[in-house]
Amino acid sequence: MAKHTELVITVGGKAGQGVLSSGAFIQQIMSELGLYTFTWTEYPSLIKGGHNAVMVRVSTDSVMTPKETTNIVIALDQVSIEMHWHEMEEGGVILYDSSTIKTEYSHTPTKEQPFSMIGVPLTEISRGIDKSSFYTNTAALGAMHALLDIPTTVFETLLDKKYGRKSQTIVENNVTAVRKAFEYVQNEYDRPQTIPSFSLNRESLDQVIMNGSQAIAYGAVKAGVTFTAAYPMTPATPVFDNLVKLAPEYDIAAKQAEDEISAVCMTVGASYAGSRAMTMTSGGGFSLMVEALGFAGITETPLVVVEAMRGGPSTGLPTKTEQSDLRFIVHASQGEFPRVVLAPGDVEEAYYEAQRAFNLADKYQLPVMIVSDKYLATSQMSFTDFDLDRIKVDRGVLVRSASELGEEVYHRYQLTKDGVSPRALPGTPGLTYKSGSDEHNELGEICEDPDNRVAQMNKRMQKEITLLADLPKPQLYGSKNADVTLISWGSTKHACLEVIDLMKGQDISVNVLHFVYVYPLDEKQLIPILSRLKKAVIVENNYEAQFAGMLKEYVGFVADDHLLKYNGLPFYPAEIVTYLKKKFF
Amino acid sequence: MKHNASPLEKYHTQSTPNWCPGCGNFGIWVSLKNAIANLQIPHHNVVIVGDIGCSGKLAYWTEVNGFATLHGRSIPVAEGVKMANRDLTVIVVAGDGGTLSEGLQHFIHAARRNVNITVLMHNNQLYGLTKGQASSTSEKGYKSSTTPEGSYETPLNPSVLALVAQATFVAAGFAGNAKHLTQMIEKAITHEGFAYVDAYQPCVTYNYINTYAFYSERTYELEEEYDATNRVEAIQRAMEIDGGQKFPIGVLYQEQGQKTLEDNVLHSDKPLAKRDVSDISVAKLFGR
Repeated sequence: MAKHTELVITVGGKAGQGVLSSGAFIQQIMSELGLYTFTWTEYPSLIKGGHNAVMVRVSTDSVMTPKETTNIVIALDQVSIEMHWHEMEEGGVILYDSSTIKTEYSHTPTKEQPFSMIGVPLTEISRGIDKSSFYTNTAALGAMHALLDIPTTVFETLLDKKYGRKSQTIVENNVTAVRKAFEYVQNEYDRPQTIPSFSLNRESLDQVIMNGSQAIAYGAVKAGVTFTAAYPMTPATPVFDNLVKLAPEYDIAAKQAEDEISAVCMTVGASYAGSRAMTMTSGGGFSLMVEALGFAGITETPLVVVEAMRGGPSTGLPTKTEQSDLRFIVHASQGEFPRVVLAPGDVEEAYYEAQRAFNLADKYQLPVMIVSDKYLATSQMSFTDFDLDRIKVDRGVLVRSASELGEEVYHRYQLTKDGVSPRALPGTPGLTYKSGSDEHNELGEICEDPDNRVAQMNKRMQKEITLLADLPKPQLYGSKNADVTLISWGSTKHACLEVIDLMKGQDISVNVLHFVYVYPLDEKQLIPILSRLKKAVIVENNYEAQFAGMLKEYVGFVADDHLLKYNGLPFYPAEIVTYLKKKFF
Repeated sequence: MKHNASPLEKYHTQSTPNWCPGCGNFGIWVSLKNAIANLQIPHHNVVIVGDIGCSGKLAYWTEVNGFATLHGRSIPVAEGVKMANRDLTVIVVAGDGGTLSEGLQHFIHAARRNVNITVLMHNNQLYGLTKGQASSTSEKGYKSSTTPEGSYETPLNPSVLALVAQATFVAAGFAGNAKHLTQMIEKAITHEGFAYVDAYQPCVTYNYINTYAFYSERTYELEEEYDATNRVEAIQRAMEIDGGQKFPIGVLYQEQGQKTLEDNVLHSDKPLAKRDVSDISVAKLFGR
């Protein structure tokens, strides 16, 4: 196996300086060079002016997590130098715009500053082209090429791809900026040998690069979503935006509603009428959707809701990540009704699980919540193998015409052994029925009779038992009998997985048990798995150890410890390692 | 099934309304059934989307499809139904509480986006099901358990609201004049776009002001030469009710030919609900 090499490049600047597009370019360039990437973005809840940062982790192997430290910082403004100063790896480089940043730092590493400072007059280079500062960030990437000792050809091709259709002048100007900055670094500085270099004779990877929002949207399209309604809320909006973009081509009705209540109610209405329908929001919007969740529950209307979590409560941390809505999602809405809550851990799972969510919703006629978070929603991950057609569409038991019925009257809420009643859509020839938010009899008519109530409750709740057979088990990664098992759910997956490798050769071995299906939890399925663990640590992005609490409550499993983080940032594998060493060595 | 000599019997379910004897809802219900019968819409193609309140229960008692929803949320649910299957006739049955208090935003936005549904508002000027509390349309001075000194807020004028929100059809009718109300509902259903019908509904149990006699004396049919295509005039006429003495009934406003929500949001004529979604290719999205 080839030697593992990796490198972290962080681009920082004011919102509006092209930080995010620089990150996307770096990712594409590296992908073309046969390298894997992971991109993490940090942005405040501002449109322009605040500090934006994008961190691209580049590696010879697949990577799915951000790092605490960085090798190269490309600072487009002064704040970026200060912000990322303490993240610098020894021997790294801060590459800064010397036209706008007047720094007194030393060019070469010192004791207080164990990394190099490389100034390039980026703005000047840009101004020299057409008097604008438009090419500052492309010039910065040109300079980066010189630091990495890689040719700019790939980048130039990508620039042509992006701007070529718009204007050839823009392409030429960008290329000029790239080359000038590249030459400037080559002429003015010796390349610091401490920067990792990659072998350039790798084959370009047939990679899929996308974030969790795209993956959920594409999964929904594959599943046949035909209706979606939403109200804008960070970090859920990108899922909706992606569907809006695809709506004409895939014949999807995508409606921005007047609020989240309307969004979810439209979605329930569309689903009742027979559309595969989905809505998406974050915690605040989900709070407003809560009543309609129970409405879908009692009317047994399939419903898919994406809840992209951010730091709470209330407005909380709008652009930061957290996993603190889990308990809320599991219990949301008055009364008792069956539901499924699933939490994909990466882009691949997001794509598949979005499809399973629709199947479960249709098959069992209930609300299914896809739990995402800012980390999954906005991190760009790269994958090489994707079986696009793995999940088949299952729309459940549908009555297509009155003649299909064995009886004269259609019983929408027929009592059945598995709890699932054959569903007919309004508009089915020769057949009408009632459905409503009141407790009802088998015909769907209001009924407050105690025996009927028990029968209908039992029927609905039976679905949550029946469906357990359809829920995949949590996946165990790493050796079977490790000393310590990290339990992850949702987006903490890859931070934990990386720890397996980082702990190789240490005194204790680590494996990971990853949960995608977090509710309902199947006691019978889980006890044999959980009881075999030697030591278990639950890793969660919240304060209350919510999933640990659920495992206690529903499975009776008490973990040995939990590692929690609620500062708005995702877990870094290195900090999990530090924790393990402290706790178990 | 109970014996019923009425030709509308085929619109009755096995369960029967539990409205108070003499309730204005009966008159509105008869008008609605008559309208659907007259228009000869197949039962299976009609969806009554009920709100919560005395009125909304009608969804359970009418032999078409009935979807009884949440308080204030019948309109967005109906919009979803219509977008998913534009072949269905979608009729919202709601009260003044759900339409103008809990769900006011939906009412306004449904009007401005011209979704092709009918909103039939049973306007009894109070909350009947929770025992007579004041609503957004209660007259000033209306006494109830929550307004013991009498309601002090100015009542909302729903027709004016609908007109200002650019509704393309606004009509008013009276539960005590079923023949006329039937016509209003028929026109609303056949209108291509958002249609609002304000139905004055006496509540015989709690409302001793706005009785059958009150409305019989104060409603008048819009004269034949009335121009229902002039929004400003329609607003003026609709404002007549604010004095509590004159209640014009008839089509206050109708504008034809405007694009509906479905025209704008749907990309093909085939109802979304009828699309085969079993084998959709997304290879292109993954660059394959």
